[in-house]
Amino acid sequence: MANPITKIKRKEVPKEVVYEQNLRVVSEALSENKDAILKGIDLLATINRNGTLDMMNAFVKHKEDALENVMQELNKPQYSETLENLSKLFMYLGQLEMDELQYFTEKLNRGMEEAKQSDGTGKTSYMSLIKALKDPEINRSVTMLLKFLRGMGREY
Amino acid sequence: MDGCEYTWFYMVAARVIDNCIYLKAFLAENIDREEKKLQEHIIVIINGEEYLADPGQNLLNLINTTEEFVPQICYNESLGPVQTCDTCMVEVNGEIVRACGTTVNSSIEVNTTIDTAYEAQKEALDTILENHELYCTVCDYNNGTCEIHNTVAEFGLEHQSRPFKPKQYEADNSGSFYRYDPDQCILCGRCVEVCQDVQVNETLLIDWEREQPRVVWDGDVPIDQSSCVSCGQCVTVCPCNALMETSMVGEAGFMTDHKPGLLRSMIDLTKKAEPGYGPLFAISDTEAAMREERIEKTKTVCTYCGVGCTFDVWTKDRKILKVEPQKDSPANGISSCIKGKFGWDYVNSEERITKPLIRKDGHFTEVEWDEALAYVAKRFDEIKAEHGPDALGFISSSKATNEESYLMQKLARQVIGTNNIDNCSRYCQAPATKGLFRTVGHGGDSGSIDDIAEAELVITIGSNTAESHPVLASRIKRSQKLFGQKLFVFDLRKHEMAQRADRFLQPKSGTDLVWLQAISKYIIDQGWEKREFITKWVNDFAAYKESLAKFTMDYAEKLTGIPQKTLKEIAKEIVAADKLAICWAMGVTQHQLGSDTSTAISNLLLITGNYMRNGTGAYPLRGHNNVQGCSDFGSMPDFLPGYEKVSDDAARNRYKKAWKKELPTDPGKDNHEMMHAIHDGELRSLYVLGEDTGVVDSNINYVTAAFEKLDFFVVQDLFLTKTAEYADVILPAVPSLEKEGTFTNTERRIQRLYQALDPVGESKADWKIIMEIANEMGYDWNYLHPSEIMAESASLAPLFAGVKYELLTNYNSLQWPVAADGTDSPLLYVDGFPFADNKAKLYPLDFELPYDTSEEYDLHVNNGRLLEHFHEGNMTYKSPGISRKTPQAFIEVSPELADERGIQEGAEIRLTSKAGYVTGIVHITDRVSGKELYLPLNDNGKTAVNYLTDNRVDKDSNTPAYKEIAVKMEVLKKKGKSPLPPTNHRRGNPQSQIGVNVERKWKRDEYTFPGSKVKHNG
Repeated sequence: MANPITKIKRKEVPKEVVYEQNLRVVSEALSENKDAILKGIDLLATINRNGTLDMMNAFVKHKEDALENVMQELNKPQYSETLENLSKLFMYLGQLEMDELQYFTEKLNRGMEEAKQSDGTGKTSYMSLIKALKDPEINRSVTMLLKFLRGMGREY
Repeated sequence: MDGCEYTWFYMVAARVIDNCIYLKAFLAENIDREEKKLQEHIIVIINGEEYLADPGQNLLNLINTTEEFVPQICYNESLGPVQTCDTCMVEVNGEIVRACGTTVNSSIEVNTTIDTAYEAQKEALDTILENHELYCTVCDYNNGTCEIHNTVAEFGLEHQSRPFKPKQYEADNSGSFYRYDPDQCILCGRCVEVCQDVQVNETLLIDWEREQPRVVWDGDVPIDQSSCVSCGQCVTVCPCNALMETSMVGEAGFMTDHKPGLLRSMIDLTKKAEPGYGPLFAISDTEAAMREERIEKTKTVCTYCGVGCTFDVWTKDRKILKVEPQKDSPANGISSCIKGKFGWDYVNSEERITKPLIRKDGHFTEVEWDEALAYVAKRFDEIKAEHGPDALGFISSSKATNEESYLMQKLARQVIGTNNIDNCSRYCQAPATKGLFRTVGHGGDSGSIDDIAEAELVITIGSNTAESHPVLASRIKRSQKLFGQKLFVFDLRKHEMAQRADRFLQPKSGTDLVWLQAISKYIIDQGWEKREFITKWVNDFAAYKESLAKFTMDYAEKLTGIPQKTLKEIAKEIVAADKLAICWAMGVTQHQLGSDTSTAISNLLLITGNYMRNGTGAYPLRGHNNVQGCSDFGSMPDFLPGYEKVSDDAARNRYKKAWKKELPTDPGKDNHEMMHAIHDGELRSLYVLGEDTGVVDSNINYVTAAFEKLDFFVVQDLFLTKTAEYADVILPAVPSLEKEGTFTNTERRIQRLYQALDPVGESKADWKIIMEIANEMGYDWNYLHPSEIMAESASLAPLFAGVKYELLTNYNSLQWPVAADGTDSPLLYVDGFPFADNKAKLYPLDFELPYDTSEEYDLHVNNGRLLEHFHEGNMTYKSPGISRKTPQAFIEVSPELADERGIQEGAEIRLTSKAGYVTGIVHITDRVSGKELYLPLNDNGKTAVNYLTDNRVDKDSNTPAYKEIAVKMEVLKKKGKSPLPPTNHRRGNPQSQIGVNVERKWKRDEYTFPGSKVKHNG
């Protein structure tokens, strides 16, 4: 004869038994991963010495706050613009044709050399400007500049 | 010419005309065939390469079989073209068109990469990205399957040309199971397509006419207050995060579980820091890959009804993130219902039993497995020694696996030496099996669910299909809505299928046999039977015809209440249909004439030639995930596995040799007989596996009284069920997600489930527990994995000869019979019927009305399932979402009866039958009429229907006549709070339309066809 019953007496597992069981699992894992654990301890010791561990600890515990502050800050125009510029700059660098730029820069440098040597007191009249065009070096520069201006103004 | 000559003349003329018609048909058929051959393939040139298309093939479908890439977002193989996203633009014969909107009917030349096509594709993608913000890294949908993400990445779109425009709508978080975020919605309309035409619940629409179109529920109410049945299919097909399971939100990603404000600023920053899509995808793809590390996706088989849906279940530790049906799921494809998609909370319920329990001093005490097993073995041994093996009984579970059914019967037969083994198919489907064995020889569905969908005419009898087998019902609903399938419903109650039916008939309870026989007689009397089929394939026609004499139209009209005219029309339509499938369920089987009525259905199918072909046949819809398999694998008192009789010497000797044990030859006791035998003092011990017999058997006062008389009672379950309360030992078992094995669905389809979670506490898989009991009793069973149990069973039962786990990996399945070489049988009887001469049998039947209401017990109680709950509710009531929508069982009362008795919604009543009484809350609805009541069976408290049912059974199978209850009503309270909360889907207001109505999108002023825009700009 069995009446319906609903009461369950749970078996209390003694604290010591749970402790023993857990300890066994942990020590097994330790033993199996000896090298990794030792290296890990070394790493922990290092970041503890230089204060990083405390900082990480505090940061992780306040992750949500920290993230909120960082996000708020990063979303301000000055930072977000920097971020946007950074990535735009990155794209820009990708578009530049470095070989040609190098050629152009070289020429630019030579021009700078020459300009440095002038004392800056001489005056150039219209006539001397036209005369100067006969100088093959100046003529080359002007031709190149005119071509550059044409290219720059071209509509796609 | 005299009369004779005229007759002769007419006969010759008729013969000539006949022959001409035949010749014409013959020629036409041959010409057709030739033409078809020519048409079989159409040459399509795609980007200069030649490909062969089937006539009528969708162009996008064809392109997807090649190496060419065309972006596509709204297109989904399971749904077909929706034509809303405009991304699959290609050039066909010089014109820009949607590939998904193009059908290949003649040779065409297609260019998918030409500039104009590319620009049109890009234009469409840009428009989509105006509607969908890409913040993938912090999106819960970033799991590698986001179709927007993947399409944009593969297309190589680098920049957003036009900025994302937020919409003015709030997200709809009102539902328990999923949420809608209009801001992320691209209005592709897949959700609408699936709701309207696949699930056919007709809740979702897109309101194209408002300034900012959006998806709306029931014409515009919150999700929670709509007619949504939470089947979850809209969520499954959503290409992005617009519709998402609430269980995924904040759980799936590493950086998604933050407060909304913080999440918003993270989204903003993500977009700033990742300006082009390239870097954004690089980071989000990495994050998606990281998710794989902690989210497991495991294929499993649903553990609710017999449709056998399969899907991936996503778990993170023990959390169930979501259930995702796959297009390759054999029975269901992308479909699911509320229980399979969202009803898994029971697995992590706090109420799970986690340690074996033994009854001691008026309570259950937790013990170690060693102690529990030793105790069970000792008591089994003692009772067997004292009273003999037949004093022990075993009940298997239709929830457990095939392998577990096999082991349970092996324990009974080999270890104990008794055939007292049965399962819950005794409560539902045994009569259908009986009817099919009598006529066609296999106790299962004739074909697959595809065949039901393919039939020209579907008749359902006593089946509340839309609630009991929702995914299967959707296939019928779809065929009827879109493909001209006819649906006739015979039922007492005007449930959803009845409301949709082309013909709905309400024969008087328990008289289905009469109209079936009368229609068969009428067909034969008219000479409309399929003569050729009968001659070739069917025996016993003459005796059968003779037995029909009694079933005249007059008699049928008198008994069933259906007018003769209607019956004759139905007969005519049955004969006119080339392919007829009949589905039936508990409304047929749970009667005293359940087996006979099932037989009558099969008889009708035989005389009309509706077997052996696709789209035809008999479909007894199985109610539980493995009610088919549990019987298949031998948990039956008269059958060994594979339906070989225990009295069959050859079969029994096979097992005797394998198991090295003499086996009992006489059939054992079924469930119901076991209860009688306990009362009679013959049966002393009972071992019940995963079955709440004390709630689900009929006349439970009688059943629980039997439990009290047992000497020893073992119950193996997840929970302390009503039945377990009577146990001496309770063994903690695990649910399907925590073990491996196979289930067999209603289509005879064997499917594998994989383990998704570890067992809770010290609970164990049933097969392990059964094995440990056998070994404790001195046997040496050594199964390391369920595959070894299946291998043993396959080697012994010819029906499963070729079943192997290797053939069942992932979404692969086998439909029995499976030949030794692994060939399975999606359609039965292709080469004849499994009888000596390959012919089916017509089985003569008689009829006497065995049940009626009386003057005192004047109301009829119909009973059955609700969509959202299952069986006695042990699993589904553990889901807070489901319980919120449907907190309790209720009693449906017709408006006329409510008037007559002066009661209103929420009234409390007591129903009393000759066996017992229940009390419950009234819901007034015209789903029931007159003096018929409906009581859902999903309650194990004071509204449990089986307090009312009695010991009457089907005369041939001993299945309780659950559906034959006459009661009287007592009013306890005249009105009160409705048992149906305002959030129940039955209160919704569905809006039927076909598809998403994309034409209304195209009519909008600002809409331009991307192709034309390109042309214009160019």
